[in-house]
Amino acid sequence: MSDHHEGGCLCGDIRYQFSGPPQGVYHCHCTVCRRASAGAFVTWVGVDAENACLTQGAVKIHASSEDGRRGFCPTCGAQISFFFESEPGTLYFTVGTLDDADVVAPEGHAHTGETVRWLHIDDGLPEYAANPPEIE
Amino acid sequence: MNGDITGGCACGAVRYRIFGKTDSTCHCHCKSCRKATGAPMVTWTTVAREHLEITQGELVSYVSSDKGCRLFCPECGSHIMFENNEYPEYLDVTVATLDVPGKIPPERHIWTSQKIGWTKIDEHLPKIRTT
Repeated sequence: MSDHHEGGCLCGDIRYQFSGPPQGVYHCHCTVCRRASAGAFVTWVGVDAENACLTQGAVKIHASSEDGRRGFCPTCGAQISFFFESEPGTLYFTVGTLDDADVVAPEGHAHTGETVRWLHIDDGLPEYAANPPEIE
Repeated sequence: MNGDITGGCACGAVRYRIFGKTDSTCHCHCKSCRKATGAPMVTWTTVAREHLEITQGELVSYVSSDKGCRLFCPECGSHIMFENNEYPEYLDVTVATLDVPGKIPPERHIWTSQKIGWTKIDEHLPKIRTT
């Protein structure tokens, strides 16, 4: 996998980039991710916040839990980023907004205790009822 | 399916109700849906416009192409609907924002020509390269 990644929202207002090895790539099936992203699940790539930045635009922050902060584009609604206020050193980006999502390899499924009933996971990746070990 | 179906965004500012039948339901893999939401694919169900009511809050719209516009919550960004110019009497609603999404199963995949290679979900469903 290349060390440098770029992405952005649909309307183009928000652009971001990060480099370095991902700190976990997981599909999250939790109810909040589902409602916020409007996808049956959303795929996150964790990165060292020191190696990541917005290069254009500003996200609007939605506090989705006591600790969770979600950043989205106020113009087109795209979910861009997530971080735990208690762990600001790790930033998570939505793989769906990467310019080349194919190069980031998911490692497993998180919060499958909340997976939509009809969803069949057919990729054979590990499934965790709550958080995967890296995020415990 | 029939009967009242309710849903809403992540922050709770927007709530809606579907009080009629939903038509076709599909997983869309197009790049526009991905970039608009951040999710690898978006599951849509089609309802007659007259069968959907916003019961709380207001949506804002973004014209994503000449085909139509996407409506989302301005407070949390949750995408709720797509208005297709070709079918003005219908709305596409995101199944993921339903209170009980498990009640509306998808029937097919669309735009698999733009699918992320590693997305392997509901492989038993028919796959359509475009729409």
